[in-house]
Amino acid sequence: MALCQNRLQEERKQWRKDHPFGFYARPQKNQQGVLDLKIWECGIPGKEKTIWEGGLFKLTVTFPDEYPTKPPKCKFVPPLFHPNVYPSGTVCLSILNEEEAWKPAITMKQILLGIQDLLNDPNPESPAQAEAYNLFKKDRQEYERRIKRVVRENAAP
Amino acid sequence: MEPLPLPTSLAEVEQPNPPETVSRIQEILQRLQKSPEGWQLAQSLIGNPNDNIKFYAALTIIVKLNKDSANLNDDEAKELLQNILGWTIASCAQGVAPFVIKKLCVALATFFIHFSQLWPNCLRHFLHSLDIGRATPIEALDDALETPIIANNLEISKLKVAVWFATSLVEEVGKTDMNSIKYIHVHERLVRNAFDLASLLARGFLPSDDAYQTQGESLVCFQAWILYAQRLSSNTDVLVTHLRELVGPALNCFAIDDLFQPAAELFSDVLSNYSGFFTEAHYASLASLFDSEWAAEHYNRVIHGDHQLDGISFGLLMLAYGDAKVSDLMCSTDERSQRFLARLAGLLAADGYLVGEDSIFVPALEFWATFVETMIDNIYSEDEAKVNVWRSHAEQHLKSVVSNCWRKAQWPPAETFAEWDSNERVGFTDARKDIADMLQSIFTLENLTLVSFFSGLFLQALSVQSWAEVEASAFCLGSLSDCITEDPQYDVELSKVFASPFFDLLGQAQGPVPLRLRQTGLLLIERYCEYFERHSEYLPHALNLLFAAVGDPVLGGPSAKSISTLCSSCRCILTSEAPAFIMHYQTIRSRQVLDSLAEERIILAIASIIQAIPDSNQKLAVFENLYSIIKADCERAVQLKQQPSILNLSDPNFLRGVEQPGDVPSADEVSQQLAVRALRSLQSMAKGMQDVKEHVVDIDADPFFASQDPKLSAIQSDILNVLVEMQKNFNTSGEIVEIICIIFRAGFSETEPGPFVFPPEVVTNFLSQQRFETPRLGTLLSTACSFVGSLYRGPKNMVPSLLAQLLPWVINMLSSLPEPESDTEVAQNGICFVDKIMTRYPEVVFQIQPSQMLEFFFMFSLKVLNGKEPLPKTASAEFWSNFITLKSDSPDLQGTINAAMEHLGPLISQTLIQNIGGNAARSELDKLSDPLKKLVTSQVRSRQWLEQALFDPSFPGQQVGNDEKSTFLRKIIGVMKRARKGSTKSSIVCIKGGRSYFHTQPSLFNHSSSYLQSSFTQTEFTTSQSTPTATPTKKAQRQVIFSGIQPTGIPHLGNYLGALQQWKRMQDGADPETTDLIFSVVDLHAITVPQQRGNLKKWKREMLAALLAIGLDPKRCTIFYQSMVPGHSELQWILSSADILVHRATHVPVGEDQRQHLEFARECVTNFNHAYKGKVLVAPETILSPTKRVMSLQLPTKKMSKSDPDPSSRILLTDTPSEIHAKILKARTDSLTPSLGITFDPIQRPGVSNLLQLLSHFDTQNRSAQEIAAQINAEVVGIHGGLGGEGEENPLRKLKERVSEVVQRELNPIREKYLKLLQEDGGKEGGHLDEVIREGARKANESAERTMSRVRRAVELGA
Repeated sequence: MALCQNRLQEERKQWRKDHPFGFYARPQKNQQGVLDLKIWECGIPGKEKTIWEGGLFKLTVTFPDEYPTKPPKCKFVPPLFHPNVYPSGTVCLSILNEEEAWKPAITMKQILLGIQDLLNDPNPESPAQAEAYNLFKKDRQEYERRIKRVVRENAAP
Repeated sequence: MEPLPLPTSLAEVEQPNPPETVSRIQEILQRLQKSPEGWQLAQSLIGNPNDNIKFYAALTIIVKLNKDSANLNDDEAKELLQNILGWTIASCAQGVAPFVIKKLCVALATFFIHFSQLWPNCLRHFLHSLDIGRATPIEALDDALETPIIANNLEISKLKVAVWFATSLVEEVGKTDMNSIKYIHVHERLVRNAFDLASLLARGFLPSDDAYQTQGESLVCFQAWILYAQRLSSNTDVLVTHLRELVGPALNCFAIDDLFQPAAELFSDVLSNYSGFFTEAHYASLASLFDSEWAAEHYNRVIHGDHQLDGISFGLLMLAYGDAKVSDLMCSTDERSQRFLARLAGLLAADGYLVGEDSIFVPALEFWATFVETMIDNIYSEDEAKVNVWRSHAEQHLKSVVSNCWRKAQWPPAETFAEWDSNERVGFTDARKDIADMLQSIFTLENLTLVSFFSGLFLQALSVQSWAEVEASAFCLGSLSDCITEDPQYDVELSKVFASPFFDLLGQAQGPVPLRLRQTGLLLIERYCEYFERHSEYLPHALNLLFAAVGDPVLGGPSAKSISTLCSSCRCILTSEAPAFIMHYQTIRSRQVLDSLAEERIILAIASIIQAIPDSNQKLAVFENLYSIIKADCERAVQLKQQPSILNLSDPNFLRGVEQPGDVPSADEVSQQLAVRALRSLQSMAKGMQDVKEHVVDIDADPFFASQDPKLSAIQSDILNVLVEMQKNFNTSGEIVEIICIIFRAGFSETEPGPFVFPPEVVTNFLSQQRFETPRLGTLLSTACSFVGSLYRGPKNMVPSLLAQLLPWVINMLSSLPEPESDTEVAQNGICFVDKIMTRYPEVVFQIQPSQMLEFFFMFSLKVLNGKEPLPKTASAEFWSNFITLKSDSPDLQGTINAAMEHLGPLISQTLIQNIGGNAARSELDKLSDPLKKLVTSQVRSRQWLEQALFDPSFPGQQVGNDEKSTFLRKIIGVMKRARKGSTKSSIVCIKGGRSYFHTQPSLFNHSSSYLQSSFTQTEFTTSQSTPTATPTKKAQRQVIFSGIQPTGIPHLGNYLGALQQWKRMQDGADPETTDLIFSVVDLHAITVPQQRGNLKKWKREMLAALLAIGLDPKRCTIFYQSMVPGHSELQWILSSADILVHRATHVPVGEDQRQHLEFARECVTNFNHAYKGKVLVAPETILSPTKRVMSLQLPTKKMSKSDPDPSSRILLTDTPSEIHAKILKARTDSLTPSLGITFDPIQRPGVSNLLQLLSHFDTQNRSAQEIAAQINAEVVGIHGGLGGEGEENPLRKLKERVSEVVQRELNPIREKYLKLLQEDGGKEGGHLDEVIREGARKANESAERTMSRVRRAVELGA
């Protein structure tokens, strides 16, 4: 637990010092205005020169007590139309999977950049929602049209 | 080896040469450096008068030391030291260029790393030798003067060289791994030089007549040592004590202008990274330093100076101090601390705009964020009395922080902003976000004060029309919107703002308010929409403002968004405004083509107001009003589709269908676009009409549809007609189907009647008329699933008949699929649909006519279950889990279910067994175990079915014997029965018998068993009674190391590093007296994957040859094919991990990822021995080897694999040097090298990291990948700097060359031996290989037979 808190403090510090362009990530505040380091509100911009450019997608990152032994859970709010995002919004990504590529050394910055990469580079091997997966595989044009709408609805201010 | 070039030819390199010449020469040089003649080369070059050539000599020494130091005996090493030392001292005397002397210092430091035991007092020895002007023997040190005296005597030029050496020493040693056993002593010995170092630096900090050079170098050296001390995990005390003595002298350097920069860097660095290094006394000195005249002057320069030109070092130094002492500063009330804090707050008010001109603001804001957080923590955790002592002081500072932030948040004049580059612009808006965050934190402490501060500023600025200030105030207020509660005291402040004349000005498009401020003003309205709910008197005015801005190209989008937020949350207050808003909307759209998204938001806004109209007649009337506009759009789209000639792009009603202004689309495209827009509008209406209140639902009540208002019914059927018409006319558009589905779904969640809450039979009819050819059929089926869910929430009486209408439609759609998996969305949703019906209304499913449909569906879902698509597969697994346990109260229905199960049981059993026997992927076993578990626990005939499945010819493991299968079956049933009684988890191991095996070669299946295990243990087998693992073998006993590899053809580099290399090392390292080694080519495992017959034989042979080629000695080890030892398969189905157990292996080398398999094998043993009361089997111990993973050269995020279709992704042990070279040069890396150099970062740079990792695996010095990266970078820089060539030495190229070289060196002998073996053997029966393997099999059989007879005796299986 202490490890979790210390690490999150450090993550926050590092993020404040150095974060990628267009992203934001901040711990939630509870009712007294005190930070709850275990739930972060984040924003991931679509990458430049991709169909995701111009969008800013909101994500809630929840850290378990066992963090950093266990990975945080990343969830798009509202759920995002994407082959590797579950209907609940949870992101399916190897570096966020304890049994796959999660490593305690992975930082917030790497997670968010990893998810940003995933946006334009979905992994058809592990689909998480049928609709986006199916369109991605069968009708790329319609898929891209749909993404463009998603981007407009979530336009970066 | 090419002949040595004459040393003079080196001069060529200095000449400007084409890059290829330079790189060719460098290539030769590098080869020379590594050759055995390297030492002589260095020696002959060092005397050359040319500095560059001397540098190259020093570099050669470093390279040789890192490569060949193991070949030097102590005397040779000592002689080498004398030489290098001599050259260094001589160079110093001859006035050789500093870069040469520094490189020689690095060479000495490298020597220390390799021979620290010969040179423990290196620093003192170096100083002494310098002092007397020649390299003295180490022994002469005993008679030398005390180090401080030597240091004080040194000439200043020598002193500087000594400081260089001390710096190189700590930097080079610091690069080695502090925790590795190899270097632990090096670090210990280095620390013992602490006193000498302190003496040297004490002298170095004294003023000297070399323009402060030596003092500057001493600061750099000091910093390097402190940071080294921080990283050191033990033995730090002595070093730190000595280093602390030097803080005073270092502080004095601040007084000298030329030394300010390095001194500031040193102190900032240590304060922020190692604040514990400084003592309270040091902090006190720093504090008084900050309070001096001198500091005031520096501070002034930061506040008023040019940050680009003069830097902000002093400001950063203050902030680093502040950070280190933040708690103390916060609680102090003394004047000096107050002055210091006031200055820190002042750093937020430096001259110039953020951040292009003012670069201290953002770091300063970061400090204040920490300060505020510390305050909040303290206030919530400490005694109030204690807090009150300092709180008012701290708050005073916050006040200036807040007003400084407000000032900095102001936009520059538009013309200034226009001059900024994009970085400056982004930097500015980012800094504003930081300010907003900061204000939110401060709000926690200051709440109302903060709000009234900004409202005051707002009004004041407004009165003088200072727009930038008004904007900043509005921005700051806006940032607090999430913090402010509905407490009336806040509303008082907000009302001052919202009632101000500002909002009148805002409405004037051509008014005085700049665009940026209008934007902020409108945003402020949106952010405080809850305020407007409470103060409806301001609401219409606010909305009018927003509507007025809707047409604006910049403000339109945000305004529409604000409108929808405000209208949706204030709908009840606005009901009377609905008609006016519709008018508004009509007027706007008649004037211009609105952005489609903005338009949808406005419609959503209006519809949500309509939804709140209490009187249903009035509500419908207003609804129709809005609906008629949209309906007309729909009709126009259809009309245009049918009559393209009516297209008139000067009519705004058609212009709406042009996607991009300026496009000239065809009539068909326009009609399509019009249709989409119109339906999106309808979708917005449907969403807006959704109720936001909670209603109590009475599910037993009569359906409200029966008594529905006829007017409402008329509207509904009108809407439905429009939808049907649109779909019919635009029947190829998937998007239109998608929108229609959203419109239907909007009604599903409603509990009250409404225009979009269609009667269920209407929805049912609409869906069941959809044909297979309809685009987005999957979406329609998913809508059908949601619809069923909504039916279950509503009244029940009509449900069965509706379901009975939908079910055949769904199954028909599934049966139209050319292949079950050809549309995963259809398959998944179709199965989900049937599942949903079956669990609630099984009779509907079983009464389906014609009944062949049901038969079809079962077969369909079985195919999907045995297929490859994860999503439908999951759906099917869930369906079968539910079906297997399906129960009905009706005896008739139960009879039908039983009969169906009788028929389907064998089939589902077969599908599950095939999956578990090999068809499923690792990640799927989780969900597949559930139906299997349910099958065994709830179906009495499951045993028979599973038996059939096991013995079916389709079973993937063709060569598994019948006995084994029977045993497996008996065990699995036993497991389940015991499981049902809630006994032990131990016996479930058997279920994994078919899958689990053990060897170091990863394959498709080796993860599966653990999955099954975990899924079982988590659910039913939690009451574990298994005894702790048996104690490992005693020392006196013989050790048996066992491992295996699959014969998948010629091994690649990954196999080699992952397993084979380790086997060889174990063979060479283990004592033959006590340790047996058994290595198996596991051809039985290989046959669980379909193989071509000829291949397996060939591959086995190749694998055997490879094992011999890497150096395994068949006399020393037992090497055999698994299939030649019957004991393996005999035990295989009884217990998994048979391979290990049958040889009573005591030790098994595994990678980390396979550890759990061994745990499992150990558990088997324990349980077996426990069950059969004896030490029949031996629990094997793990030899955990560091996993040497080698990744694909082409896709470096995946493991190097035999099955990769791209042969250049892997290096086979038999690849020729040129193939290896080509593959490695082609290896996928990234383009980050030019800026970053080579870095080890497996996440960001998998390709480069893989290559570095390879080098590290083969490195004779066992250096880590990071160290090698650093080395390569250093060498590239070194050579580049030293030779001054024009050509860019590309470190990536260098890395690849080196990998290629190293891999070739390692694999060449293996390849040669391999080819020789196969050639000599010639594939003949009875050749050498056959002989080896027969002998191996004989030994293995003996070993296995010994175990098997024990086992048979124990379980009475055999004689």
